[in-house]
Amino acid sequence: MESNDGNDRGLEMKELLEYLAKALVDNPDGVEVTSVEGERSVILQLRVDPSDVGKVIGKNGRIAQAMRTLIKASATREGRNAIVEIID
Amino acid sequence: MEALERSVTPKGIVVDIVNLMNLRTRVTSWEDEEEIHVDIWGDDLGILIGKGGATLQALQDLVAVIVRKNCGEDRRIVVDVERYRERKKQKLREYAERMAERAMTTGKAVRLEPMGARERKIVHDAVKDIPGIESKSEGEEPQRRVVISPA
Repeated sequence: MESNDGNDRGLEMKELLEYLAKALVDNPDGVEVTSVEGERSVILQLRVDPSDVGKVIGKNGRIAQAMRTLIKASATREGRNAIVEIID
Repeated sequence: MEALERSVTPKGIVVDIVNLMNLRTRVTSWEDEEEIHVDIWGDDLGILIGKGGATLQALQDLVAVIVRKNCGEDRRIVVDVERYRERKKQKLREYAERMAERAMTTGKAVRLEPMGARERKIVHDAVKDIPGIESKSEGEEPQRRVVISPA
């Protein structure tokens, strides 16, 4: 089942982003990640409690950039591109 | 998240992350008064290092922030993959020694390329005990560089 396989792999990146975000914020219950799967790419949308937005972005966007780098590395291994969007 | 409660050590956090990345690794850790060092071992971990160590740096930055927040720990966190940082440091030391030799034989100062503070310190330390050689940093960040010259 090819589509299932793809979904599972997308799930992995989603779980990684969820884990990182929950570890960074004050309100882990406010963390929500949704993924939009494409053939060669996956778009991950991260929502956090409004009071935590700064925590997942970091000074000069450093934290957000680090999460993107790690998620992209994970995706590259599967021959995919990952885009992380922080929705606020 | 229950996963986080289970792993509120720097090593545990690294283990969680590499597992979520589906990498087969072994993770070890040591610490002293100044830093906590987490080493990741395994085959084919190039993706965890990334271009010029960028992915490793991202991982270390994230682990450091997560540790500071969740473990009440303020020692420096160093995450390494297959001793990548250590090997890089060693290369830099050897390079510094070669440049010191050049300064000595030519009798002229050697200006190195701009480096970050940590790398500059490695260079200064590498040449500080070489007789007849001195080093200093010049210029403004991020263009600050080490100059090695005959004393």
